[in-house]
Amino acid sequence: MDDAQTILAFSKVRKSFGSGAEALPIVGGVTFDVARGEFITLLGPSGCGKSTLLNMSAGLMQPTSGSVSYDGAPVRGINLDVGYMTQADHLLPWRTIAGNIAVPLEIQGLPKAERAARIEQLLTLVGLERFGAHYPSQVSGGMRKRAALARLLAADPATLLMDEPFSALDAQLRLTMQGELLSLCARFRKTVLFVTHDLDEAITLADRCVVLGARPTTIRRIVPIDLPRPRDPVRLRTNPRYHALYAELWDLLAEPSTTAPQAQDAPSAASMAGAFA
Amino acid sequence: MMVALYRILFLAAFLAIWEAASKAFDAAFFISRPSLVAASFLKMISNGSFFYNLSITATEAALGFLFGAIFGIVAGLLLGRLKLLADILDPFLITFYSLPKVALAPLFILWFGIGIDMKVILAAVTVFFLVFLNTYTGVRSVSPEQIAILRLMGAGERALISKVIVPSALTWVFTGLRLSVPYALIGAIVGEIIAANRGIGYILSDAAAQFDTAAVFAALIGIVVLSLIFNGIVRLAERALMPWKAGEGTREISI
Repeated sequence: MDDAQTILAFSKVRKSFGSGAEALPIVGGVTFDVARGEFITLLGPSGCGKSTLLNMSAGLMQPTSGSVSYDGAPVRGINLDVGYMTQADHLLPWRTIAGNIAVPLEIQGLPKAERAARIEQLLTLVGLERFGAHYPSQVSGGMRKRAALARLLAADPATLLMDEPFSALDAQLRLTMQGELLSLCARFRKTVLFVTHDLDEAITLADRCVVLGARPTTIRRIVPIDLPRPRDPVRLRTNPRYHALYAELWDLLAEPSTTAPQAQDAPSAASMAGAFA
Repeated sequence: MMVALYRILFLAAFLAIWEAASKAFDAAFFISRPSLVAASFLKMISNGSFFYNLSITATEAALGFLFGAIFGIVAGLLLGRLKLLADILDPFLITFYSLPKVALAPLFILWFGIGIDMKVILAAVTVFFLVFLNTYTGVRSVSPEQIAILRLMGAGERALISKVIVPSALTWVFTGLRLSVPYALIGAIVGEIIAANRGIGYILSDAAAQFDTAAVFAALIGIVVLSLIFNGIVRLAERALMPWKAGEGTREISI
């Protein structure tokens, strides 16, 4: 069965920042597989190295030991099969919304006429058809997030890496965006690795939820989210199974750490920027 | 509207006090007088010397600005992207930067004579450093996240430069360009004051040598006009090249 094929594999992945005695272990041995078309949420406390796992999948950083494989081969250098969406939208402020969505299409070398048609399509898909000519500074945070999502879809990567993309949005908008993401993923059969520290979000979106412990991160448990699809983020809240899962994940997160938690905050190196520092 | 009116009143009051004080203290020799300056200015315009000399200074400053800006932008982009080269050249650039460029004028006279090229080069050297340092800083402060995201979309170095680095550095480039305008004029005018037989700087030093204070002030007016025109051109270019800046002034702020 094609669907069960492993697309992304973490094998005994460890990552430390710095070297020698001052090395700060962030990821302390993580092993799990992601199947093609699967939606995985990574749930864990802030600064536990969730973003580091995404950065390694993208090839923005290399594991200190162990390996990250994509489509059967170890990830070396930039992984062009993935697209990244972070908490900040990182739209280019000097381009209009339409211009921002055009960026990946220009890189792909799509002819101008096709580009325009595709941008129209994507704007409609995320409900921004009237805002193509606006600059990012002229629209709301929610619209910028939609624009970033449209840009991600324009790049059309097989795998989406999403790092708390909706955490800056208000509760209502977040539910709307989750709903949109669910329907888009169902439609385009994307594999998704979605980092969050929000329990509701982790359950609503996932096929499986990987619960991580405090730094250095290890997997506490991988919880299959056996809720029926298609899901409606609002209606799910009334599902008893949903509440059972919520309680289970909560207990897992609250469990005292087996390793001594580190007092200081995660270094900024844990963000994407660290890959270029 | 009111502001404009008050400005005119302020200017009128200033000129009136100047005129009256100059008469009262019999100080026209030192500070001249608006009426004398106006007469001298009109004379320079009617005999053609004002526009002739102004155009020479304008040409020198504009060419110096242009060459300095082009080399500055290219060098800034290059060193901004090539970290090793920047590290190697850093102490030399700082040494050269800390040297007041005007001090090079005697050397430039020796090398290039007292013609227009000496002034162009003096202006260009000054402009170069301002534009270069700003461009360099601009290239260096490009968000690494934006670069990472574009890389993941498959962007090569060329796409990165044209889509992210240049537009992102543009704000800094224009800061450098705006700062450079007076320096381009300084380069040209100082060059003329030191050694020349034409240009507004020559008019200035020649008038001063003849104790013609009115003509000195008339020349200063010419320099101010030139500076305003240059600034206006840079501002227009800025607005045309960075249309997204226009919208930023009107957005709500959130703290």
